[in-house]
Amino acid sequence: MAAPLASPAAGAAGDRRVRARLALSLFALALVGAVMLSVAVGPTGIGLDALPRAIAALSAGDTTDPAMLREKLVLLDIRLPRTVLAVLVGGALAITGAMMQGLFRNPLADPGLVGASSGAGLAAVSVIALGDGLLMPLVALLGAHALPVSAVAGALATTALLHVVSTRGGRTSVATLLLAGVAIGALTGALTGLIVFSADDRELRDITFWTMGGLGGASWGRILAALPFFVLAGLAAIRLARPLDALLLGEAEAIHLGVATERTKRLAIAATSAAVGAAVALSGVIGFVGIVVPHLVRLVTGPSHRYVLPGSALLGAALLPAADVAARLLVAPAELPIGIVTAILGAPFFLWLLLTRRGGIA
Amino acid sequence: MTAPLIEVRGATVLRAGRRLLDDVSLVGRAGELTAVLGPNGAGKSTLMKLMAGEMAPDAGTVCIDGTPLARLPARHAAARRAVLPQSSALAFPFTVREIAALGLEVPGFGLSHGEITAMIGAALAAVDLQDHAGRTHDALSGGERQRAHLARVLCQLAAGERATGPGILLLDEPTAAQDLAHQLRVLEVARAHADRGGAAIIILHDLNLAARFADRMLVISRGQVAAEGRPAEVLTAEMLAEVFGVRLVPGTVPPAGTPFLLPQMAERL
Repeated sequence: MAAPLASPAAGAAGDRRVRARLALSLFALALVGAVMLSVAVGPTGIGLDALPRAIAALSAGDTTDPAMLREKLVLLDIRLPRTVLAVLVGGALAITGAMMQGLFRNPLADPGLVGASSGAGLAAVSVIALGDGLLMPLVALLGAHALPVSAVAGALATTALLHVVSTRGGRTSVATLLLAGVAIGALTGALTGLIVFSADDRELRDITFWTMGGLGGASWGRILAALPFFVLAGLAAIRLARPLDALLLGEAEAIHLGVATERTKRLAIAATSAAVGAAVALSGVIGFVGIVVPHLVRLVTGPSHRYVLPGSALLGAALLPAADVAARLLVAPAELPIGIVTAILGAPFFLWLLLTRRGGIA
Repeated sequence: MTAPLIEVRGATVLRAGRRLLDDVSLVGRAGELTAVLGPNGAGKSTLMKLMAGEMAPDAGTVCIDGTPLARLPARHAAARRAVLPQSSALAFPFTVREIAALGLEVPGFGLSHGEITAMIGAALAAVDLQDHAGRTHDALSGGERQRAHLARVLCQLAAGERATGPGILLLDEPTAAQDLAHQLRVLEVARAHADRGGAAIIILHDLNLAARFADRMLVISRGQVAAEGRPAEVLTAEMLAEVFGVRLVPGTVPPAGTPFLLPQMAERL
């Protein structure tokens, strides 16, 4: 008989779970590799082999060997925090990008859409430019924390405003949210422009570098301060996988499937603004991670958020330290702003994906 | 007579000063397939949305198993009724199997791997998509998409049935995009659900299909119930003239005397 009979494996057609789990393992391996590379590579020539000695120096505490001290400084106080920062920010941007694409049922959505990036950006630029004037009391009060705290507050404020505008009678309209996001983005952009316009040369340079994104300011203290936001977003992601899948069918269909849609939307938006605000505060605006990474993951795992969310977190966490290595090495001993690297690598790659995949990538 | 699985009592829906539904009642009993009929814009889909829990009536109640839907937790409602809307968009390319599996995503179903595989397999076979499980949503025709979503609905229904007994199947124009064979197939699936002890409520435009498969009919016109009862009672020349504005005398098919309509004989009034 020529017709294919149902074989025991026929039940597996269209089932991408095995492939998805394999992909998650590969992303995890890539993350380990990227972390090792990022810790091992730098202009000083100190490699991974020095890590045990550096840790020994840390635990001994009172070593006087200058070579060991130097290795400890470079590895544990400069490269490791920078790597951890890259991992956290990359993972946060990618996972929130995946959440927003799922929530908006739109493959072009990214964390910027809920106003989080632009709100955080406006707050940060305000602190940089007005820190010695109008915002002096704030800077005096918070000291070095003024920038990150303002950025998170800015992200939450714009997102909250957006949520109020697009919610009527307890229901959030996703279409209104999208449109209001564009309007609020334009407004915060204009206000940021106004501040940049009135800034002096030194402030201008700070702002420019900050908006291009960078991981150079990494320190354990700043990482610890932002960590709770990332952890919250990660916990939210675990709870959101199922409801976001149902929401991909549409709001009515999600209700039919027993999903509390309003709670899902609020949770996704709150998690996104917290994580993106923290990421922007630590490293400026880093583009393309939030939009490209979820697409890459989806190509391999299929669109189920059970795999897209952890996959995006892992791949984003692997890609950003890798991009940071490139940023550090390409023009060493100077370094490129990482936002330039992610856009230069990410944008053409994205275009290539769009061109080569006939049916589009969504 | 068995107790109603779902009951709409005196439902009125007001929108922007218009009465979309005016004092409409409908009972879905175990073992019954009810066809909801009526001209475009009569309020059929609004009635469906009330039963699906997407909106609440401005007056009247919707009860599942005697409990008002508004008081029923979302996941409990999801275990009791499954809904196929007229069309469902999917922004991302799920495979047919993954679409069906979404019906099992209701929290608290607690299915084993074997049960999941069996339910998906049965649902895909029921809608004649067993050989297309690996195709993605964007590569399906309109009719195939609708059947993939029907497979999802059947999965949800099967899982709900395992947890709480035969439930309620709500279909909004499930045959609209189907060829003749699949129109019959879709309605046979709904019929089988009713015969297993569930309730099926289906919006249909094809009065002949409705007459063949339905136990009861509810005709809605301008938001009000225009006729209700067994097909032979409902499909009368008077009803067709009054509700649809068509002059046509129904015939009957032996042996059961099922009414049928021949559009060739129809005249618009």
